[in-house]
Amino acid sequence: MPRAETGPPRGPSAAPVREHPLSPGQQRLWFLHRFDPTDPSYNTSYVYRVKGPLDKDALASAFTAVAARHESLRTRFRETGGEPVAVVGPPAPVAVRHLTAAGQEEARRLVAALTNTAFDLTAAAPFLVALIELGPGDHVLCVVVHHIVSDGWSLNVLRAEIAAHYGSRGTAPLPDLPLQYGDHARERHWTDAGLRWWTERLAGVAPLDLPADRPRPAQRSAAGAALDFRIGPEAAAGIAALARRARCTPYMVLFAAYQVLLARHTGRHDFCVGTPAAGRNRVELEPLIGFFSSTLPVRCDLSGDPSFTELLRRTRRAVLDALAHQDVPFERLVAELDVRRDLSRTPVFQTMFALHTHGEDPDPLPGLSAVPFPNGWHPARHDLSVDMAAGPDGALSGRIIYSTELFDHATVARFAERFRELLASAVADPETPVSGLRMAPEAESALLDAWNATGAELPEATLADLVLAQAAATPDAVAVVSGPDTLTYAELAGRAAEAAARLTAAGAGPGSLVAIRMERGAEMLVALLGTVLSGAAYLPVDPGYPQARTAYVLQDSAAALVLTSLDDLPPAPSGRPAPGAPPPSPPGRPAPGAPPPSGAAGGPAPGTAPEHGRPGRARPGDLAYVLYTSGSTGRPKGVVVPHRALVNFLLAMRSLLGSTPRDVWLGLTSLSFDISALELYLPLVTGGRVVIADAAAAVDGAGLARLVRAHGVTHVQATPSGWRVLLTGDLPRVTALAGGEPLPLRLARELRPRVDRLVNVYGPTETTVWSTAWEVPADPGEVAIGRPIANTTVHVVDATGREVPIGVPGELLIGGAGVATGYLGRPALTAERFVPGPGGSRRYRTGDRVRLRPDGTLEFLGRLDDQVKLRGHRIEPGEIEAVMDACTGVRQSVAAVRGELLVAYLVPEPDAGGAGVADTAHGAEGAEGAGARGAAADPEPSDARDAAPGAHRALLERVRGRLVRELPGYMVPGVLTVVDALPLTPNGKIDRSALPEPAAAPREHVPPRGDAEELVAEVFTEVLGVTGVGAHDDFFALGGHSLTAARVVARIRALAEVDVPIRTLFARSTVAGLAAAVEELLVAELAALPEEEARRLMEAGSRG
Amino acid sequence: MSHLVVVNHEEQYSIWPAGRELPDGWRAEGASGSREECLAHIERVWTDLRPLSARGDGDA
Repeated sequence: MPRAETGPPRGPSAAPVREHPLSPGQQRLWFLHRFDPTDPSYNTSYVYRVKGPLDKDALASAFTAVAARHESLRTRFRETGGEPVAVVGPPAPVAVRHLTAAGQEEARRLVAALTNTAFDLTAAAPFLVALIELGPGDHVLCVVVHHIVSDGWSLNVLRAEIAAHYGSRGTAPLPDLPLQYGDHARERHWTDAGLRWWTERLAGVAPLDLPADRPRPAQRSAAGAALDFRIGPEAAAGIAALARRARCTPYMVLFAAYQVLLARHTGRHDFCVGTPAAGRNRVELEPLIGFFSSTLPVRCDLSGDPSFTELLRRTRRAVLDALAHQDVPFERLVAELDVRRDLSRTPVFQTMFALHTHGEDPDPLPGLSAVPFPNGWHPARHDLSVDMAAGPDGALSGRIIYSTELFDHATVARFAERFRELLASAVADPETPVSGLRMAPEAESALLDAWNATGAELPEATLADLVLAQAAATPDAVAVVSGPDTLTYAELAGRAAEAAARLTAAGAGPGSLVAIRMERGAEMLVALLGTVLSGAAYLPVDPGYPQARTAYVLQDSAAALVLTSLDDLPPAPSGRPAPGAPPPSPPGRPAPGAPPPSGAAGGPAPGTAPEHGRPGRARPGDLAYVLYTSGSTGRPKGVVVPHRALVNFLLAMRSLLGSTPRDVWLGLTSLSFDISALELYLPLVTGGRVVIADAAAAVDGAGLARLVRAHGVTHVQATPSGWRVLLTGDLPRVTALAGGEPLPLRLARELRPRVDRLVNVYGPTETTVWSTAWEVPADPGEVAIGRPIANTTVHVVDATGREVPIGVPGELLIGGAGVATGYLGRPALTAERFVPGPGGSRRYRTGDRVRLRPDGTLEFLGRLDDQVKLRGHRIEPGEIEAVMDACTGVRQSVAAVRGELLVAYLVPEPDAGGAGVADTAHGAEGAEGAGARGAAADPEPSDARDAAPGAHRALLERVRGRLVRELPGYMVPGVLTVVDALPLTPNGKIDRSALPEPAAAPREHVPPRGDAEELVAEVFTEVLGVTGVGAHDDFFALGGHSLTAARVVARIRALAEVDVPIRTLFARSTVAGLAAAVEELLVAELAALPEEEARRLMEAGSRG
Repeated sequence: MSHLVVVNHEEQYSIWPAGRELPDGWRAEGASGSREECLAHIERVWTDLRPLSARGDGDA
């Protein structure tokens, strides 16, 4: 064995045991090891399949010799008083583990078991050599070393030295090492100026959330999987050529393209990506084995939509700057940056990119043929890591390791495809702005086109044409039932024609607008159809509206007539209509022929509603109705819907639902909500009938259920809020449509088994009632809004209006036959919301955030307006609401941001107040923990201060406990408020702007209560050097970080003889929270003791 | 200048980011400027929101 028995002090150690402090990088890995000792994500390995006559003794002595040279391979770790120490053992023979495998598959399994088993860093040096025998002269060599004593470079050194020693059978001694790792670890290599550079460089960078397949768990784990991809030699040559032209490296081209990939998936232009650095910037470090590498957070800047060439320049500078400051340890940086302690993700950066220039050693055991063998190792150190390496044939091989908690394999595969497409596009035209680089592979574009191939025949007809055709076909069938009134199709058509004649006599006709302000009933339907038959369009005005709104709508629309009853109309002239007859409208309406009201610009009001109509029938392009909607901002605006859009909608729903003449629809919805058009007209164009519920019946679940039963109703449409009312009655099985606001999963699961079919429908008024539909399956696990209906297209776009990839959230645009004409008298608003599409078409910008799921259905994520950013985190209230809705005792919930505070409102189930288990102590702890996690890094930590009228205390604690368990800390509301009901808009949707102010309570100092809190407060005081620690004070807010956390745990162990896992301190970081955890652990220990001993201990305690 | 005023065959107006390829069936109307300027221009010149094919006296 070529080991110097006596030598210079820098040679291999002669002392039996040496100790040295840990380098900062080692401290970080030690911390991670303590945090989760079962986590194998910092194992490193190399694995070869070797064929030929293997000299096993020579192999073992080669490993023994190399381990004798390098202290790192003999180093284990121990901790004293919370401070870790590296313990270097004396040289000793390395035992090669001998295993046998029947075949390649078994060998793979054995290798994966070895590489995925965590080392106990305290027990022995984390270094393992195994030889798996597949047959004579056929072996797999598997070498695993923990990163704390190794890195990528080290593996190359190890492999080369093993090769040299094995090849020469130990006869060619290796040159002495200039120093050992411990010598390096003892020195501080960084400066305060370097640290300052980093903290300035990284100030204010927010975490990057890639669009995931599943919600981010409250606490991340290393569960991961790998996906390999390849960039062919030709494409790789193109990348190299671009790098030469841009005077940078292929790594920078790849890295820049990766940044574009991330930016285009997240909509972010400023984020950090980790990239490794070898950390061997001194020549004497080069031959050593040990953990020298570091990970540099590179801050990416894609602001201003640079060209790819410009992005390359920025990348080059950012990488070179980072490399120049690589001596500052990452862990020091994390402590200095004071990043929010967030167990759901890795600090500073969440994704990595690396290009490895050192390839595989072609000859790791001279005399044997060796090929790399899969190491089967894929724990996710980050959300997503991309490792690339140049292959011998000029190709680039890539491996993506991803968190399986977040991503599906197919999602990551699409990610890799898009990366290759982006690279090809950037190489082809590097001057293109990065937002314009092609990213969707052909197959993905084809899929998007296929999902939008909704073309269906659309006859040139109006609503009147369809209803008259049906009346001619089935004149004696019942068309409408309303209270005691029943009308056949012939009667309905006859009365509508009479009303039309009287309307015409009053001046209505194509191009004019008739306001209909009538109570629900058969007469209202006659008035609607009469208006349409006259060629005019109607404007529904709810009789229940406040006077001011009614006045505004009538003024803004300049409606020619206002009908409150058919009796308002002049009698039908016997014979021809009298176009010049005066309108019977209320006083104050302009007389026919009077100048139209002025528009904002001072000229004639631009619009589609001249004062009185031309004679004759409406055409498909003419408007059918104008419907006022309230935006979140600004005045209500009238949406102008043409007949063609309405007819398309009705025919699309007819085919979607498979309508038959046997269908009986419930007319439930207020006329001022456009979805009523489906209930009223679909039965009339398919030969069915509509049963109109009067306004009083519409709010009584039991009454509605009786109505449904009495009239044999088969189809019911309602908002989710409306369905909650309906479900309180004994509702017969019907086909149910839910729409108008997001359908909560819980409601879908409750409703689905009680109906024959449940269709979740979605659409803005501007694209005519519903634009997408989703058939809710039995026992749904999630809720989607489905696919576009006939002659409708959907497009998910980013902030620049470009389509985003499948799975990526963006704004929904809707195109097709349902797109409305625009906003009455609002040219600018119309131009802004209805944007150009191909073929001269227009698409409506919905303002809704959605994403396309891999099966082509859309998922609704929320309003763009509602989406909130809080301290750098993008928060989707819907995700928080879903968790709260899932809690027993919660009927409904809303999350919102008030000022700098995330708040939530809960409506309890009617009897939920007393229903909660009175587990007050546990619940109170839950509240503490959440307050800490939700507000730990606030300048003034606002504690959880839920507004809890006594009776709901238990409910709030239960909800908070669940939020804390299931959501990342930044998504847990700071204040929960119980309300009796949520404010609703006139259409029955939740009115977020009208939510009450959350109850505010001043934060008060609470001294530690009880022994456990006093113990924890004392430890915080001691470890952090602070005074006056109170029960609600938070470890991290007081200045604690991951390194001091280990000392807290050690102190608690010393004082209370209880082992608190570090992760518990992270999850419950207030004094009260940690104290409760300590108590729980003590109780658990007691419970584990034999009965007698426990009693003795407790008695001893009470006597003492 | 960040946006263009654009118009289609139905004489419907909209706006489009300058420098981006315009979808077929649309042409630049001539006016350009900030988003707000373009919208203000449209507010002045687009006096009949009906598509061209739905205008006219319609003597049926």
